[in-house]
Amino acid sequence: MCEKKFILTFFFFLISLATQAKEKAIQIDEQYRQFLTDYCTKCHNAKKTKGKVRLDTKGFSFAIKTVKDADKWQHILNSVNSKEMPPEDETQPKSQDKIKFLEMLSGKLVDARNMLNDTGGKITMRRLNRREYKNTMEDLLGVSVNASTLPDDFSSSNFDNDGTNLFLSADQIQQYLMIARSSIEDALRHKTLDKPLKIRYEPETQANEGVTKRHSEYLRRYKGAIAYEKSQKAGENKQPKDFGIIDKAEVKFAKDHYERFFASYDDYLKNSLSKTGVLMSLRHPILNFSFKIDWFDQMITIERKNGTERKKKLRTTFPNGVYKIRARVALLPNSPPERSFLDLGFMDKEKSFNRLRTFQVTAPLSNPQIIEQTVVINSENRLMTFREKSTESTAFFKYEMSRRETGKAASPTLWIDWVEYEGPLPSKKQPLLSQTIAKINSSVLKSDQIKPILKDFAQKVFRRGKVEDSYTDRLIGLYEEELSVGLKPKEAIVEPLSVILSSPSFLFLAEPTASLKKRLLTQNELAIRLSYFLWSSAPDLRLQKIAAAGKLKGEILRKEVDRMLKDERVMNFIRSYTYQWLGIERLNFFKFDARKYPEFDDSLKAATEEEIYQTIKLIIDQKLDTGKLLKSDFVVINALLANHYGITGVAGDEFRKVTLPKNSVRGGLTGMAAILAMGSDGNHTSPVERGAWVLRKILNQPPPPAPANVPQLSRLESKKLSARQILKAHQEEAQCAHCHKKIDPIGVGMENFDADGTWRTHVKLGNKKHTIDPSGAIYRGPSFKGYVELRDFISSKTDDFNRGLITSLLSYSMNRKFGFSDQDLINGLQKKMKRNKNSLHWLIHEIVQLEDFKIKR
Amino acid sequence: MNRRHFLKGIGTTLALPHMLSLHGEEKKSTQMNNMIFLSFGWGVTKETWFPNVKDTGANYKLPEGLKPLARHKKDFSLVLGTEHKFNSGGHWGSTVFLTGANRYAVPGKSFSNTISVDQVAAEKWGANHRFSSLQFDCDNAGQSGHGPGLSLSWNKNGKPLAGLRDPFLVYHKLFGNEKMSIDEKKNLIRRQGSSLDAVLMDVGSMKRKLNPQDKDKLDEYLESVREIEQQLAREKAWIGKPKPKAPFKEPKRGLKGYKEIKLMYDLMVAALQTNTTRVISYRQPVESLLKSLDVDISSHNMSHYGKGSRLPVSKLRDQKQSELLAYLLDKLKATKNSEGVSLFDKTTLTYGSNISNSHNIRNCPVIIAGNGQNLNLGQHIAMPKRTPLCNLWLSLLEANGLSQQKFGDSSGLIEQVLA
Repeated sequence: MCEKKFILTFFFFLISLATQAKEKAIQIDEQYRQFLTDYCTKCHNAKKTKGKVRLDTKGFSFAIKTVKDADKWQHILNSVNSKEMPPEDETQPKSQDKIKFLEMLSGKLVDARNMLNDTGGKITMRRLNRREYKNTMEDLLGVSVNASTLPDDFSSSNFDNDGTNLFLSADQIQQYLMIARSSIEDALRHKTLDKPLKIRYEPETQANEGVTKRHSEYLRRYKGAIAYEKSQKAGENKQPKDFGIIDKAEVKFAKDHYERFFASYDDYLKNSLSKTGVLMSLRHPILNFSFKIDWFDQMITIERKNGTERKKKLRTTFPNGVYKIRARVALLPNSPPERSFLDLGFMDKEKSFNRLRTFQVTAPLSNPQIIEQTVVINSENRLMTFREKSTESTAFFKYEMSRRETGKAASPTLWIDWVEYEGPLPSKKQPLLSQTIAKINSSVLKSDQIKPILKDFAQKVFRRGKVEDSYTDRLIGLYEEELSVGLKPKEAIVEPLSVILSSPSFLFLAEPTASLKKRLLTQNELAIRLSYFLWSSAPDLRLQKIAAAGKLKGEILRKEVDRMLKDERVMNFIRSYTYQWLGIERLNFFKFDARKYPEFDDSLKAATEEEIYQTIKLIIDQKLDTGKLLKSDFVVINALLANHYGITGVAGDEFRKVTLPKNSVRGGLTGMAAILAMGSDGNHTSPVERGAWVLRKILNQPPPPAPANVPQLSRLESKKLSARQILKAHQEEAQCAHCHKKIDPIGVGMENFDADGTWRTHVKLGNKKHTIDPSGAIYRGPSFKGYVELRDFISSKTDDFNRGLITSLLSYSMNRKFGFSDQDLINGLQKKMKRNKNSLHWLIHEIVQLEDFKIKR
Repeated sequence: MNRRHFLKGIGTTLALPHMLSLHGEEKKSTQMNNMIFLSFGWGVTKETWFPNVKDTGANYKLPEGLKPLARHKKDFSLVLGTEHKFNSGGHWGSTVFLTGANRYAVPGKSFSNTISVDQVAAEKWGANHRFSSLQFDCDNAGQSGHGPGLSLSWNKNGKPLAGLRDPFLVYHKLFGNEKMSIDEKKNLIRRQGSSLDAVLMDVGSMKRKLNPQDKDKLDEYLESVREIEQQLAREKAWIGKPKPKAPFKEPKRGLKGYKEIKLMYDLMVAALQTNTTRVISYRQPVESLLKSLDVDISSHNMSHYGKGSRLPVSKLRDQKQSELLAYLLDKLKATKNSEGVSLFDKTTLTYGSNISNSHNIRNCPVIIAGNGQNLNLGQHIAMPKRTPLCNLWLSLLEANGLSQQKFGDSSGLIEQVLA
């Protein structure tokens, strides 16, 4: 017994020595040489080297060491996948052999690519990505910065903060300069007033005027059209014009419009509530209720020199700044719950609606409620707009549905008494730019006066101590050039400041090292890394001070991380990390079919996405087990989502923890509407997307990338198939089966969730209704009757889930791909995390404390 | 002497030095030539866009998907059967379409690319034009099946070149004259120059402290600044020369889909007509094209058309794209360059995608047109399986007096393409 143990240990020791001595390689098992011998080498040998490919020699390496090796094997994989090889008239491999071969090879190639891409722990210096740039600029300037003109950050296989994937182009640098200029100019226009302006607006007069006008116009044109048609029947020689209608085509429209819209307008004007406020409708008469924050007129009295008075109109313009928008609103009696939501947004130049928030309205007419939203107003978002929760397509569809039933719009449910806006409000924050601008008087500053101001700004913006004189001298030169062409001091400073904000010291997160040797980060660098990890922005003053004092370590570091996790900026991290980690991009890949899912509009979609972020936040805040992301007895939702899930007793817009009834299918990522919607195409569910997502994100067994050139199962495409039938079809062909046998059963187990995430028991295929059979078995795993048992299986896989989470969070936090050469680190973290109750909160702390996090390689 | 025949005659072992006598001066037939490269992401409907593979030559039957091009049949060739052997991205219709690169070629990196064929031309031809090349692009290119990248073009270091997405802004870039006096313009350029100088000071002081690997990253910044400086120098040279008069009125803002593509085509013709540039690439929208045709399935789903309800959508897409191409060809034929020669005769137009259909990235659908003096038009050319698409790019360079020995993974010229 003892002896045996000894031998075993010794054996392992030898192996590990051997692998260390050898260069890195991914080894393909020699047993597969038989596959090549059986099906390939008849043509690909020394004599008959078809396509210049030779697979027969012992020299054909089964160890993938270089890009070339990988490409060779990729070539083989592609040929077999596309059914090109072996050729049709040659011996074909048995299905089971082919499945095994393809499964092995596609897996090995993923490993090989990972090995060959491995950075060996190096973190490439990187520029700020688009969102970090925006956040950082906004913190510095105190205004909202429009960074949409910057190109997308290109991430082909890792997070958007991986330096190896962040490129720069000439166009981009010009954009940086332009964005900086216009943002600084915008900031200079920003004002705070000690006594903010306030306007309350009673909208009914204007609204009724508009509705009345169209109401009578529809009627007039209709009467004209009827009279014209009558005249035609009577054989009179008259033109549409004689009846006030432009031409013949218009006759048809006049009748059509009257039939479709008139009753809705008529109804509106008859409703007594329209005399005291605005009634929202789904499309007609009022879908969008807009008001512009621009200016107001006052009559003021001016005293003349001779002592008499005169009245004068004084126009006050609302400057850019922070405003509060308020409205007094009520819900009409007997309104269905899904129609109690009011969207607030603004109309942009292209006249499209940009949603800012969705309010739930619960107050009755007898006692309306006041809703309030803070908005930073600039030149682009001044046309504020309320509408009943909808998007154009769902409003259109709902209107048509109601019209078909009742001949007019559905009865209104939301009433707005008045709206009010107040601002610009004083702000507690004093951004760096305002501090800098405050130092520049209206009188021209000499170069020795402006120098310390520019230097101070540059030093703070560059997140490091020293700025060289030669650089500031150049900036002063710029400033003086600007003055010399006649600009005022405050205008002349814009260009040098914009240059600072476009310089590489600002745009790049540099951790300078002279050689390729690793070194400890300075305290300041550590603060920066930490801050871009947890806030996606630069360190605040407090963090800078702690770092400057050299105290950012041990317990204080821990406390700072806690503080940062509590700060609202942590949502930058939660949103951007989770979005990329879970692949939420897909949620916005397609429009949902409004006819099939009229409630799944932009507002609801946004709420489903927010549910994921708020759940992660709760898991962090309450130091919960990450297993709760797989299965839990609670959800984190608001009223809008509660309504979607059919959970009662939740009122209000804020997300909160709601305990679920027993046996609920909610609780856990796989029961969240956003995840389920991502596993669809907006029209039908996609069991393949869902299954692949679970494998990729939860079970940490990512299927290899969908291979190119696989022939479609085209004989089936014309048929409406159930998920189960598709699953069966995928088993027919080896090149499909080797992945789909793992993917499809999981997807089928989730079939009781519709594309919008609601629960269903039946599915319509063509005109037939089928009962869904969600039963199945995990590949080489247990069988399940349906979703609840599937979720039990999923939730038993916390270890796999955490491994994926750890790897991806490491990659995000340290801006490089983790994987191939980091297995030991990941193993260690995984064990430790388990001992620490699988807490994500713990994991974040632990990553920050890692040596890797504190060194530059 | 036709250089190609010259090469053929004495064998290709004679490398460039012997060619010097031919270099430097452009052949008459390639003087003032232009190149346009169009790509459309998700490929085509295989069954109705590709002719029968055996039905080659000049008398091939025009397939259903190309019917709108019937009036131009003699003036374009289908070059089919090619592929990029290194591409393995089933959603990458454009990323390596003009480069043929192996994304994994650089160890330690999960993505790299190489120069695109249009930029080879731009580098040679660009100096004397207001823009050495123009890149047009669409919103959310990924959804239209183009894959990663910022446009169809990649510079000599394999870095993505930014594309212009809004035709309204393109119009103003090409024809909008700033309301600025010569002095004001000079001042502006001087100021931009000074700003870049200041920025370069920072590059200098930063660079001293970096390790070699990070220096490379900073060099990207430096290169970009140098590029802007060249642009400024170019702008300076163009001061006082007003931008050409636009051949048509300022377009409407916010056009999407079908009308957007049409307008971009108009702008291309206008840019070539006014000699503003000689090289243009364009990643056309597919997603918004479908939306503008009142189709409510995503373009990705359409590309997996099978035999069901998506098939008519896929065919409609082919139909409309061919219709638009026919419109562009009409326009090129009807427009003359500054020498009075038809633009069509002076422009090599390429239209295609790396994706054939669904996830198939072999047998790329590619059409070439124009430059009839040097290209063999009116043909269906079916290449043997696995012919590198880069052979076609190499041949197009050849047909434009831009001979190279190799481009990407090319293994030789496609002789049938050359006149």
